[in-house]
Amino acid sequence: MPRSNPRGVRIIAGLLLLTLCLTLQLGTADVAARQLVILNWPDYLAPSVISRFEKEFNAEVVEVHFDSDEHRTQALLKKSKGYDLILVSNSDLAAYARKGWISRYDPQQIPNLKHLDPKWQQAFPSSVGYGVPYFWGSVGILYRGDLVDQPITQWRQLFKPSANLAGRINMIHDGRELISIGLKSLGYSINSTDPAQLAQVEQLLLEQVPMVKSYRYLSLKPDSAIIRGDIHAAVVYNGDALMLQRYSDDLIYTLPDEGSYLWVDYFSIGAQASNTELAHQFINFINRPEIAAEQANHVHYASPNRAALKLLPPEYLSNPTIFPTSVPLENSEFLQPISAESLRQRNAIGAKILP
Amino acid sequence: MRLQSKITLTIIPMIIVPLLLVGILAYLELWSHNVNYSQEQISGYAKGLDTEYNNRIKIAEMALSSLANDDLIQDYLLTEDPDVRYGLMESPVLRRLVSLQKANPSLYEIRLILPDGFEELRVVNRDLPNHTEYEQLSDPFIVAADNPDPLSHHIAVNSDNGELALYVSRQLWLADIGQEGFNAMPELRAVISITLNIDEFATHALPKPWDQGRALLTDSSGNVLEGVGQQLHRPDWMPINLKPVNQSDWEEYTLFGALMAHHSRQIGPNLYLQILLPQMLINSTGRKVGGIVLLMMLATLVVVIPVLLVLLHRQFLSPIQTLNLALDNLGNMGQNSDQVKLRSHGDDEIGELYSAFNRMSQELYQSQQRIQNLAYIDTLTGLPNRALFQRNLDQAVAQSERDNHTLALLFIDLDNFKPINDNMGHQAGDKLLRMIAQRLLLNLRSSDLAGLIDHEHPDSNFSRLGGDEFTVLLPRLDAAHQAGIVAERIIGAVTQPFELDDQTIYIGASIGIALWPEDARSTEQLISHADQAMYEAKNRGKNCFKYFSPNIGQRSREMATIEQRLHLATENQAFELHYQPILETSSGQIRSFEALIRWNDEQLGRIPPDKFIPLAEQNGLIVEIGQQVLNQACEQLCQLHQQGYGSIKMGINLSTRQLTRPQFASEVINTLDRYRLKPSDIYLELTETSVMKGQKQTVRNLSKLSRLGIQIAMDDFGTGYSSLSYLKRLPIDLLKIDRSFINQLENDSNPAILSAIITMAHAMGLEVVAEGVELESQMRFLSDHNCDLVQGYLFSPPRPADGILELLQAQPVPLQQVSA
Repeated sequence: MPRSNPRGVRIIAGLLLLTLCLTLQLGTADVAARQLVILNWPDYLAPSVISRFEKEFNAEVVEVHFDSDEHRTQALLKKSKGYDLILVSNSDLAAYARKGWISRYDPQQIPNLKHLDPKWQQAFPSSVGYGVPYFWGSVGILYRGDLVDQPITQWRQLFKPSANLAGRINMIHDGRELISIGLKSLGYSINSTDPAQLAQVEQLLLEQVPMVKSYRYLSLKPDSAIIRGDIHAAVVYNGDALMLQRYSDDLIYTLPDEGSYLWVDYFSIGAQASNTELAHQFINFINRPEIAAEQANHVHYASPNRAALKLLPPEYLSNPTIFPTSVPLENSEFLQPISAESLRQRNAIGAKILP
Repeated sequence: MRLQSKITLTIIPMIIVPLLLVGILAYLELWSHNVNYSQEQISGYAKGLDTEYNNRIKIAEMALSSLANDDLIQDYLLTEDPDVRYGLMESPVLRRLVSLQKANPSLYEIRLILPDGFEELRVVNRDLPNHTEYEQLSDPFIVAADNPDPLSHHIAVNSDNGELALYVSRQLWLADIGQEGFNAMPELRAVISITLNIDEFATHALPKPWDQGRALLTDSSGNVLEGVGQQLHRPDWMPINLKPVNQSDWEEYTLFGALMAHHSRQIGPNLYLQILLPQMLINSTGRKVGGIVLLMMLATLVVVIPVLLVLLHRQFLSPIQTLNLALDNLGNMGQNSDQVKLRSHGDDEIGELYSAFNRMSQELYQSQQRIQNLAYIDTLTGLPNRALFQRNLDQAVAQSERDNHTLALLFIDLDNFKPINDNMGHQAGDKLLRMIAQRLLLNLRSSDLAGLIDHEHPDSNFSRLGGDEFTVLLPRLDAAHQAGIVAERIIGAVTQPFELDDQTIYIGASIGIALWPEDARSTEQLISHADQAMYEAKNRGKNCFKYFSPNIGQRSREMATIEQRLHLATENQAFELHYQPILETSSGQIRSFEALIRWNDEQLGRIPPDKFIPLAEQNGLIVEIGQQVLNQACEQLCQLHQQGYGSIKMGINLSTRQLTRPQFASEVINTLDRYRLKPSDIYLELTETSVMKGQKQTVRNLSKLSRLGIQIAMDDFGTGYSSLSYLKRLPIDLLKIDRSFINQLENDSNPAILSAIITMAHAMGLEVVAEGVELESQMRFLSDHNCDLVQGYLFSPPRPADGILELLQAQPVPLQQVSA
């Protein structure tokens, strides 16, 4: 569930509505051209790939962007109709299916599924059959090696920052992920349902609040706060780290040894999709090995497409940011389905922490 | 009481009383205004709280309305799948609640409570632990869930924090159309509850200056709604059953002995805001303002009164005191004091008073001067009077004592002034006195007396004491005889004739001189001695001067003793009469006797009449003595008549003073009747001078006596005026020629005069008696010249009563026969 996020949430929301309207207008005006409406992170599809698809399938791709899981959910809560494809993170997949926003895909119509590592499809039993894996990644720390006193290797260093670091920290704007790294920093599982452990996390996060400069997705542009030096350390998705590192050699990315929060993004067919066939064709298209490889090069995330990996260069394949080393990875976890009670507690914590 | 006290006592109450009244009224007015103001402020404050309270409810209700109509929330509540509900929807719903709360931070707790009482969602913006997740037993929830009105509010203690809180709740009824179709009936899905802080209402201390007071929230029965533990902070502030009072009223409420002003305002159903304010506080603000007014008033008094008093004193009292003092000075203004004058005092009424005073003072001063002049100046002559003389004398004596000079006092008495005054009238007498004064003054100022008279103040040496008495003071004598020189000069001046009313008047002066320090030891003595010396001069024949001598003093003392004994003698009728016969020249027979008074005093011995009669004349005893003489003489004559000498007559001497008595004639007649005598049995002798002095009464008495048949004899004729014209005018029967004529018959001129008198008297039908016949030659002359009667030692001296019978018996019979 990664992506680049050049603008703020509000702008995205505005675009979302605008795009939606345009889509509907176009839909009625131009009957000849098929339209594919995708609810997606921004910058999460390589433009070359989209134009190639449009050409090949004589269709028009319309993207509606969100910039957080929650934002996406809100958009869907407002209006779930009209989306042919919806990009869903692993943690929301089952609920979306239960809510009826996404429907099972037809494997027959996606022959390229064979290129995919089956473990990603089977990873979350409650949502098997609802999403086709797109990328997977982690959450780590990006920091300014030239500005911090000592290398940051642990979550604890963000939660209990040194005097120098305090006030120069950017945290991710996602309750689930904040709680997860909080749990990790305390040595607990991110799937813990122990109210006491969660209460400790709540305490940890609340205590950190005064020392956090901002809770937001970092800009991936050259004028990003961490490039400017306003921010010395930030919680980022690993792909975003690679994007930003292109602008500065002082940026160091760490996946802490305590382990981290791992995620998988899936493309799902919208339950009320207007063109499920085209949607299937799109999923099949992007899972062509060469397309998948092109995508991976673009977004710097790890692709679940084994055929594509073969096409990718060794720099990509051996990049520890994309493919973490064994120790941190072993300590990292995917979020599993959590009890309602625990969800309530986590929701409450998120509501308290996030601005 | 003094004016200052009066004014003070008048003005101070006049200032104090109105000022005090104004002050008290202002105090009361301000006090009541302040109390009202306080009450209005508090009421306004209560109203503000009321509005605030209801505003909060409104805000909460609006928030509730927006939440209840929120699709997301409705969707959330209708979503039963826990994964969806909590995995997807709860977080956005919480965000929704949080953003609402951020817009309205006063909604400090927003909760979604499920119908079973489960607290589904809870958003708080303060550190507030959640003690209860299941609310089914909580009061607010029950109220909200059971309320027939979906909207409700309720005040209760928040069990999470123990604070008093306002719960505004809304029931959310939803039909699950998605699941149950359009015919689905709405069900109660949740109660949305907003918790508001109203602790501030309940615990709110009132704003200053009423921070001693308290606002309390109660229900209608007066139970105070308080958060848990709050009362512990203010145990004094837990009134029991504080029944709300009428909203517009203030009532009194006693709380733990303190009087409170009590005000209530209903701000919700069964909810009252009640305010207790210590009455003292309300009063004290009023009292403070009033106190300031009173203080200002007192300060005004303190400032105004002294200033007023000072002004009063300066502007009125002081001038009045000055005036008063000036008036006192005016009262005490002595002979030599200057005129009392006040400095001018502006042009106000007091200034006018001062001017008036000055005018009065000046007039008074001038009158005083005039009075002094009157007091010291003799108005007739312009000379110093007796009083000034006395003062001058005192000064002169003192001066003399210092300078060792001899001082002389000349006492001048005019001779023969009285007859002139009597005959020519007082106006003429006064005129004469003025002329005399002028002449004397002129003489005294002449240069040859320069050494004796004070040249600078010659008048001070010359005074008129009154009547015809003058004095001259000679303060610096080198020798005693210088006083005599001055006296002679005065006598010389006075004896010069005066032309008065076309008549030429001749008068003289008798002067007595007394010297200081030789003759006296005091001024009184000096005056007395000069006076005595003057009398001496008079006695020495007048128109001369006499120095005082101890003899004169001696005589004066004798005279004093004589006068004293005279009174006694008169009282005791101690006088006796001697009788001297008067014989007819032709027959030698005794015609009559002249009764002559004799006084033989037990102490002083014989005192001759010429010594005591003038005294008696002076002191008036003569009247009484004269009467005694009349009685005695008549008694003696009566005896003689009874003894057979019925033709004998009695001559009785009269004094002028007797004759001036209007009743004298009748007294004489009464006496005669008493002794059964006829008027023709006696004749009355009087002197020329007594007739000359004679006033009209004298003439009237004489005429009356004469008409009654009593003969009048003119005694001592020839010694006075010897004016025959009087004899013509008066009823004179007998003329007695003074003995001096008889004694000096040897002188050449006298026999002719005597003869002429006898002839003339006879011509006028008068009988003539010659007195003092002692020699046969004299008898012969008288007989030759037809003098009718004779009297004298040649025949018999005056004899006592028992001796006269002998004389009569010794007479030749024919005479007796003839008489009989």
